[in-house]
Amino acid sequence: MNSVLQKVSILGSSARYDICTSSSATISHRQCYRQYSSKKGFLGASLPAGCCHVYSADGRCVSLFKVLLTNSCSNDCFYCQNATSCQARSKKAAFTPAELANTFIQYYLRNYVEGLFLSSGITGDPGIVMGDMIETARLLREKYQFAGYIHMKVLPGSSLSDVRALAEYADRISLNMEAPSRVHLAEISSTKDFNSDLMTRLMWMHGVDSNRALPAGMTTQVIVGGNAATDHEILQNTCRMYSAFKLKRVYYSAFYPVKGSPLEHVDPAPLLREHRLYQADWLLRCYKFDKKDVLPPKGTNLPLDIDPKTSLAMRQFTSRFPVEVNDASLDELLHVPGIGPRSARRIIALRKKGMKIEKEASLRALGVVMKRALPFISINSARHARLDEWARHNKIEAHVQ
Amino acid sequence: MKAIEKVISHARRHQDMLRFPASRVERMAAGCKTIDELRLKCPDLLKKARAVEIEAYKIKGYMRLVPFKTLLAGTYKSRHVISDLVGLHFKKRYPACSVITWNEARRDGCVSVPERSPHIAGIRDLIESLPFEGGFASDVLIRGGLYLFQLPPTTSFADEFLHRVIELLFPGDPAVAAYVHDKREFEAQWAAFYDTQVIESRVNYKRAIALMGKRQLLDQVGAGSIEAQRVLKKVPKGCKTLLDF
Repeated sequence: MNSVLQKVSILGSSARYDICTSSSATISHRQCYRQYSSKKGFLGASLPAGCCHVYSADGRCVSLFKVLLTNSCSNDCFYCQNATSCQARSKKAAFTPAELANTFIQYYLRNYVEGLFLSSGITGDPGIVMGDMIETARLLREKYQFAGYIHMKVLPGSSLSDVRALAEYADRISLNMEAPSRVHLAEISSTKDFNSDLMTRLMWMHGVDSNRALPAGMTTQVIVGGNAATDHEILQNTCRMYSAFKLKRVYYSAFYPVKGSPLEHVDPAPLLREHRLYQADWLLRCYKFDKKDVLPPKGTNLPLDIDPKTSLAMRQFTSRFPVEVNDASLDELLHVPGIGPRSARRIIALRKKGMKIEKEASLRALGVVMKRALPFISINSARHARLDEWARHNKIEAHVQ
Repeated sequence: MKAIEKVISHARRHQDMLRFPASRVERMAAGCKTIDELRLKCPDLLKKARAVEIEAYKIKGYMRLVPFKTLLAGTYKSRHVISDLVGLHFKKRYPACSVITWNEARRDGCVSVPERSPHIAGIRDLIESLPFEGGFASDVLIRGGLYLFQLPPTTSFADEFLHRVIELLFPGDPAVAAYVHDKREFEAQWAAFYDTQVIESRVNYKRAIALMGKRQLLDQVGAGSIEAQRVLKKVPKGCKTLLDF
């Protein structure tokens, strides 16, 4: 029998490949867990306090108590350390709902964590595991009167009633797609079916979410590398997910071979590739760039030596740049590397007040990253840097067209 | 105007600004009608306000509390005047508990008590009536359900003040003593969980690259890459690399 200490260690370790940063969860101060947060005397609230990250001294983020309910699993995903085919499977452990809820509340009361992220392996009937996950959430909400942030995974093969019940208690639910298509999923899992196990559940989750049941929406996660999927396919799938299912986020997880798994000898995907995908995703989601500008050519990956926004700016240099900061529209400003939505809005707001930008220092004070923006802008028709010199200095002259 | 007032209020809490009269901050911000004007005219003021805001934010995350039944207590260190910001945060976070926070650097504390609590009527009198070796606790102000206080310079918060408050609130309760004994076991449990979360460092890519072991770094990004050269300090100072993008 494992102690709570052992369970926390084993099941925390098993959950570490699930990505669940909650930065996009705090969407509005009014949309916290509506059923509970308005009641007096409830323990905590995700939004008035802010579902913030806790960064440790070495940069690690430990804001959510991220564990599996159990690491026993009958699925055979080649990338996973809990898969049946993995020869180096970790020791088996499982929380009971009461045990997990009590452990979490102890962490929360001591201000160690901000919320709960709960996933699980699937032993036999997914309905039984989902039932335990729902019970954990119910205990937290009803017994411990916890009104903070709860993120829960929907398990492949779960029923519609379970998805609905989970959404009753959770702030955010998610389902790992793992691959952008059926063909690529088959390369990394022999037991999951892309259409019936994943897409059908995503449709159900979307149905639940569209009734405004989920304050922090729904998300998914895709593995980068380990199969033949290119960045083009991954980003195309991302665009489809954002438009069809209104996902809050798509997370990308660089493949890392687990010892003893069938993919043990496959090369790990570079973290830089994952980073470039997040940058491209950001351009699609927050900058609202056109997908045909952001996606790399068919069958290729994003370049690793340059970020997608700078790459796009260099491709479109002759048609779009330099941008005059005192005349440009919001969209034109947003296309300049080093100018984000916040600094672009500040520039526009200043212009509306009748003020003009006269010098570089003013732009810097508004939050513009000048070392990146200089070759792409002019201030009162004066340019301060040449693109070819700037590119040579940064060793990216190969991208100048 | 609300945003400017917030900046002024935060800047006043900054340790450098505490030396000056409150009106100095207003004089600096005078004539600025929007936050962007303020940003251009007095960037220092904005920086100070931001520093205070970031410090309060970090403390809200870093601070660890010890539960004694329905009383939670924790200490932190900050040279800025933020005890009410921290106190308000925990009042909202734990509305059903009484919370005592203590700033070790400035030696000021904050007590928040839930509404309808049996402690609310007497908590102020209770703290003020506690005699310590160096004298009595003094109240600073009561704001939004928070009670801000200072202790005499010779009084220890953890060993003397907190001990006395717990004794008075839960007299002779063995369960309270048991909480203190559980603390070590709990910290071991947290360490076990914390060590499983290493992969989360990927959230901060630059930081992850900077912290990565040299061999792992070379495997990940290649020996010839600009990131590897930067981390291995083979890039001349001032030369921009991809880490600057």
